[in-house]
Amino acid sequence: MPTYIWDKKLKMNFKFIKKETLPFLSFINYFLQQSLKPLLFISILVMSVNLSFAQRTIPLYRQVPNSKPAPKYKEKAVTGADGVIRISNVSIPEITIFQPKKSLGNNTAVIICPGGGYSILAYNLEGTKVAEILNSWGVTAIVLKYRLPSDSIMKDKSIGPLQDAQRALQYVRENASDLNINPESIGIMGFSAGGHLASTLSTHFDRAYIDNPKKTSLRPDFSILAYPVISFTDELGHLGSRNNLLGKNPSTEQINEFSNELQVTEKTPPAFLVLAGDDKGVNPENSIRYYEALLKVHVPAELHIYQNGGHGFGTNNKTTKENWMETLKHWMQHNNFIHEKAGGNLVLRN
Amino acid sequence: MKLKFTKKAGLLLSIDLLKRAQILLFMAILFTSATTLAQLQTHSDFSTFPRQAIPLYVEIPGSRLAPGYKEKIYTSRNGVTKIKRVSIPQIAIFLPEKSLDGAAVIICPGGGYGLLAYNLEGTDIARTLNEWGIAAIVLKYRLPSDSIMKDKSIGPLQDAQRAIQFVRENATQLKINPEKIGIMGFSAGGHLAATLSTHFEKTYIDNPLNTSLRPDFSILVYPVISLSDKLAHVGSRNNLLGKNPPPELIKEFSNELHVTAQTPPTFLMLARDDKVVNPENSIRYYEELLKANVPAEIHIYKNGGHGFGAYNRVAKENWMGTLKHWMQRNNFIHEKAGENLVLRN
Repeated sequence: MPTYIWDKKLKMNFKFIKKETLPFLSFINYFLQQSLKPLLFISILVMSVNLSFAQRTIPLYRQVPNSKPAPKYKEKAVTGADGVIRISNVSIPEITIFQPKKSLGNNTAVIICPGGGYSILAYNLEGTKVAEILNSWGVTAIVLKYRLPSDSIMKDKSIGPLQDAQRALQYVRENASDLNINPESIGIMGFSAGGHLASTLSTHFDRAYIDNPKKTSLRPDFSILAYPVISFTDELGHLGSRNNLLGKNPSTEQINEFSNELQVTEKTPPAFLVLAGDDKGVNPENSIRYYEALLKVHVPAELHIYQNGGHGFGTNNKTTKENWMETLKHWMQHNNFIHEKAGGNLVLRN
Repeated sequence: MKLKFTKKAGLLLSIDLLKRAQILLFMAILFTSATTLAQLQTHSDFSTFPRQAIPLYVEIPGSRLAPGYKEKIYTSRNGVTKIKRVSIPQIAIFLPEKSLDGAAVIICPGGGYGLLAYNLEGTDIARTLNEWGIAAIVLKYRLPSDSIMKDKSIGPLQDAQRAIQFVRENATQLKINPEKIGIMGFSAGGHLAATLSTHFEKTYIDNPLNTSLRPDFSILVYPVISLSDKLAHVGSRNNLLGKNPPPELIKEFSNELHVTAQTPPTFLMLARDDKVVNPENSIRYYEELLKANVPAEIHIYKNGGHGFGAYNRVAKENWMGTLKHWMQRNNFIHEKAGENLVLRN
C-alpha cells in the first residue's frame, strides 16, 4: 500500500475527498512520489488536485460592476519569507468556498475578508488558514478575494470592495440551500483593512451597491472583527488604508461615510472584536469606539484586547497562551451560531 | 467569705476591670498575629485554610468607638456568604502548597461598599489562585460608616494600604516575592483596588519604613472605577462619600482621572450586559492606561451580568484561565503554573 498521505496538510485535505476518488488519487500520488521529486513540487501539485474537490472558487460576477477595462492590470501573488501569501492587483473578485466535513446542524457560514491595508490581501494568514479552523467547527468558510481599490480598474474605487462584499453575501445567501447553509446564519469576518470592509458591510447594508433584483438582505447576521480599521477620521484613521480607499484628499462627507463607528444603528449585527493593546498599525481606539457605539444602541458585542500581539497576528497571537479563536468559538456557541459540541476534536495550531 | 463594697469602690473596681480587659484584648490580638505568623513559618499544611485571620492594626486608624456596632455574617440562599458592618479589618492568608514564583494577590471582595461577598469574590478566588502557586490574601476591609469612622471616604483605602504594607513587610516569612504583589477587586472591591492602584503616593496610614504601597499589578473584575455623576454606581458612591458629595471628593475617587505611567499593569474583565455597573467604567480606565502606555488587557464578554465571581456560566469562557495566561505573559507567575488546575463548573 503506497503511503499517499505523507504530510499533515495533505491528510487534512484528504478529509474532504469523496471515498471513490481516493484510489485514483492515491495512484497519482504514488506515481508522482516515485517518479517525480522534489517533494515540495509534488505536494503543491497534489494539494491543487485536492483543492478541486475540497473547495470551489467562483467568480463573483459575469460582468464586474463599476469596472474599467485595464488589459495590463494583472493579479500577482507573492509568498514572503514569513510564509504569508500576498495577493495584489485583484481585478476579478472571487470567492473560494471551503465546506466542512460535517456541519453539526447549525449550518453557519462565515465570509472572510483578508487584510492588507486595501493594497494587498494576506490570503493565507487572514484567509485560508482561518477557513481551515472554521471548517473544523463545522462552519462553512468563504474566503473573499475582493478587488483592491484602484483608479485604473474602477470608476469609483471607494465602493469597489464594498460591492464585492455585498455580492459575496448575496451569492451565499441566494445559494444557501445548495451550499447547505442556513441563510439566517451568515457572518462576516475581517482582519485589519478587511475588518474595515467587514464593518462597512455591517453598517451599509440598507443601500445596495450592486444589482439586487431579488431584494436579498445584504445584512450579515454577525460580525467578527480582528484588529480592524474602523474609522477614517483624522484622529483614528489608518492613513494607508484611507489613502488607498478614498484617495489622498477625501471630503469630510466621504470620511464620515466610511467611518463605521459613526454608522452604527440598532440593526448593526452582533459583533466580536479582538485585537492587541500594543497595535502600532491600527489604533486600538478604532475597536473601542465601535464597541462603545454598539453598547449605546444595545447591540450584543464582545471585546477582547490582549496586552500584546501587535498588528497582523492572524489566528495565533504568539505573545499569549490564550487562543483567541477558541474564545471566538465560545462566543459563536453561546450565540448558537455553532453547536455546543462544535470543534471538539480541534487540534490547536501553534 | 463575703465582701462588702462601697458604691465608690465598686465603680473603681469596674473601671479597673475594664482597663484590664482592654489590655487583655490587645494582648490577645498581638498573640494571635504572632502565633499565626509562627504557624506560617512552621506549618506547611497551613496553606489549605488559615484558622485565624490576622487583624490589620493594633489600633485602627481614623476609628470611633462604637460599642453597639457589630459585624454580621450570613449566607444568602444562593450560597453567598455576606459580611456587613465590618469594624475590625483583617486579612486571611491562604498560602499555596507550592509556589514557583512567590507571587501574591490581595483580594478585595465586592458588595457596593455595603457588604462583602466574602466567599464568591474572596475565598473561592483564593483557592484557584493557590492552585496556580499564588499566595492569596483575602481582605476584610471596613465598610464605610460614620458611626465607626471619622472620615469614611478613606477607611477602605487605609485598610487596603495597610494590607499591602503588611504583606510586603512580611514577604520573607510568607515566602512571597515583595515585587510580585498584586491587588484584585470585584465590583466595589474593584473600586478599592483601582483606588489603591492610583493613590499609592499618598499614605493614609503610618508608614515608618516607607514601604512602597504600590501594587505590582491590578486585576479588576466588573469594577466600579468612576464616582462621576455620569458613570458612578450610585449605591457605592453614597456609601463611600455620602449623599451629595462635593465635586472635589468625586474627582478624588474617580480613578480614571488618576491614571499615570506608574499605574500598575492591569487586567480588566466584565460583561457587556452588566446592569449594575456601567461597562464604561472599565473602558475609560482601559483607555487611560492605553494613553499612559501602561500594559493592560480588557475582556468584555457579551453576557454574564454583574457579580458572577470566578465563573461566568453564561459565556462558556473560563475568564480565570484567561487571567492566568495574562499573569504568565507578564511573568507574575510561571509558565507552568497551575498545570494541574481542575476547572470548576
